[in-house]
Amino acid sequence: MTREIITSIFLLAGVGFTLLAAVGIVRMPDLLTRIQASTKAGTLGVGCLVLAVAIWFGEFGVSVRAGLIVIFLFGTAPVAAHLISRAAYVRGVPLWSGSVRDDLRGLYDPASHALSSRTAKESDPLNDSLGNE
Amino acid sequence: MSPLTPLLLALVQPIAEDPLIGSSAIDAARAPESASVWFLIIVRLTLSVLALAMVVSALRLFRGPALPDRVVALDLLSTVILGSVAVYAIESDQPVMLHVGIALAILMFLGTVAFALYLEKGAPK
Repeated sequence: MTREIITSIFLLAGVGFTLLAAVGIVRMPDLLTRIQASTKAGTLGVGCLVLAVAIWFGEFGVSVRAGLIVIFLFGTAPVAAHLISRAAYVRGVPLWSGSVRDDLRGLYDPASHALSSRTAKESDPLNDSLGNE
Repeated sequence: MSPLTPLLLALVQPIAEDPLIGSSAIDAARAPESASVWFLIIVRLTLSVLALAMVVSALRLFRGPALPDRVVALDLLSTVILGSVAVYAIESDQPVMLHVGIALAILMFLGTVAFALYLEKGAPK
């Protein structure tokens, strides 16, 4: 009985977060905001669902496999989101019209896609003293 | 019967008794009355809402204005599929379905990385 209650709590929390991620990917105005909605909420929701499976079965092998899925998911989702957003930014996907700040503007080399560490101001004394011209 | 048969059986025996991959995983499923009715209702409700989430994220997949939008929607879609595979493991009382989840998680990550590299190396706009 207690096991069923705890499993139900994890199931409902997981499916709520997953539905929030799906709504966010439709309703958000911008690619980057869509990425942050889908990655964070989706990963947390599915992590809760897999933890519910581990709690429900309560065996050692099942828990190890469920923990493996959760660790892999939490480790790879930020990497995948960063790769996608970097590729999209380099391609020039438009930002939301209400964005007020873009710290990366002009810092990516358009040919080699290398990110320069130079600040936007040309006459930065710190960069000049370090020789980063 | 070759003389090696007892040795092979002794090697296979621990696998056959494994609760996840052995034949006992399918034969010795739990009795259905071990779960109460309201818990089964919650599990079915979870599966239904996950199907709804799949439909909603497929909306962005079909409608996305740029290619990266579609890639993000596909990533979320496979994440939701991974969650529904996990819930189906509860619903059908077969924890073997977690193996499907492990394979799906690895394939999802590799697919997204491949799409990101393809986008960055200059996919047609």
